[in-house]
Amino acid sequence: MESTRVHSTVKPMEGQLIRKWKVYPGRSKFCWNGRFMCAPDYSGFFCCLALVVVTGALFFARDCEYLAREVTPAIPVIGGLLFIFILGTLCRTTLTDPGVIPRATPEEVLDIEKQMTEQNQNSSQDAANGTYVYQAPRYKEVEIKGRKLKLTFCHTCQMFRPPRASHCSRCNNCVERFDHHCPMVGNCIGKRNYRYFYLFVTSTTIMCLYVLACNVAVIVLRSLKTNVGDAFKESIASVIEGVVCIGSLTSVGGLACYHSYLVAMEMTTNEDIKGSHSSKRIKDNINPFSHGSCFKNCCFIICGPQHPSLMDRRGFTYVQETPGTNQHTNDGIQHV
Amino acid sequence: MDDLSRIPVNHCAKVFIQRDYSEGTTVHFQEKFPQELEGKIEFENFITTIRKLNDMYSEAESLNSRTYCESCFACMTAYLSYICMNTHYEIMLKKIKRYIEDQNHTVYVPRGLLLVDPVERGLRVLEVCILNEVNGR
Repeated sequence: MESTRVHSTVKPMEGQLIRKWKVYPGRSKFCWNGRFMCAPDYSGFFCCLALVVVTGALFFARDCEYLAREVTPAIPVIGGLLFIFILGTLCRTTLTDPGVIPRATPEEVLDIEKQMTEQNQNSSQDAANGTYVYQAPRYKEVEIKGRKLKLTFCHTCQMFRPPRASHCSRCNNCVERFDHHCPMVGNCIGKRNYRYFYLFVTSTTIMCLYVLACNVAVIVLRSLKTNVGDAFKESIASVIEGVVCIGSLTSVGGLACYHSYLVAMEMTTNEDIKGSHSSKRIKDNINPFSHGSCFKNCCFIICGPQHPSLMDRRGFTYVQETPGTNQHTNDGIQHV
Repeated sequence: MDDLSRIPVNHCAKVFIQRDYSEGTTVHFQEKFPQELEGKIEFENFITTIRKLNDMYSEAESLNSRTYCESCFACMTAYLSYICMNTHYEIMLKKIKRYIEDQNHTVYVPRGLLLVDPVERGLRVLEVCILNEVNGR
């Protein structure tokens, strides 16, 4: 069912060269021949974009025009820069690969299978009757900086999920450093786009405050010239912008504060909800992924190295026997 | 390079070197010698390759002044600069690719082995193909 996209147009011949995104088994959507990708529910992105663009256009057309004439031309310049930054980060958040881990090759799966059966034979010899349940929950224990963590086996992606990775059920992918699936921006938030998401949220908060301040300034300046009632009548656009900004601030502002806290602590929303590193549950439970100080954590999130996409979406692959590959992916799902 | 890519690796036996997470989530492969490769390659050669690879990955993931400036510059341009600029990580990945090709030419292929660039496996594993052994599948 996930691979319907492959069959929707002309069915590719076996042994034919094809771009990898066309045969990708997850539910993510690709556009511009695999250059960009987003979640299947990307309509939120257009709502977000429309809200930003419409409010921005109103702001530049009415308030900025007035304030540039009356106060200083720096106001539209600063607003314009912020506006471009918001659009850039929003598009980046939605259109970049959040850090999807490609699914394991059949050989890798066989290797894991072999290791697991060996392990199970060793451990369950005295268990009972030798009836070994094939799809027992699979774990692998690893130690990270002295803390033991369990890596779970992902039956869909056929591999042990790396630490901090999680399977997004909506996109049907394992995502590295999974934060959350954001329907508003229309993508998962993971290792590769968390930075953009965080900057988008903070810059939107700043923009909202900036626009609000300008709205108030416009109304006050106008009411100094005429009376208050006429000032409001003249600046209906400002009132609309103000309402939109206050509405956005209630959601985006809270999000910005929350994510600032997470960035400083080097945690993901997913880990915070599960309480993976909270010291309430387990004493002396420290976050092994923290870089030491809040400042360092912020530096790594915002200025750290940009990880490359592991999917190689535009690379070429040969079309495999379709029944074989389908069976493989379905196999994983049936056992879940 | 070309002649190496034509070696058929679909049906040969494979050994997988898994990731080592003891230092965090940075890319680091386990520095231990797998049993299956005994007698096929010298211990020193193999460990040197893995160490070198690990060093290159950790250089790619470290926060040095270069990546710092690069990220700040990208941020200033609202991330439009990434359209026409390769990141430090991508440059390092190309270096790693070249290093693996070079190692394959000089060390591994003459001994009947072939390393597969981990990027092709999503950085999950380092795959070593044993060319003259058929997979028991």
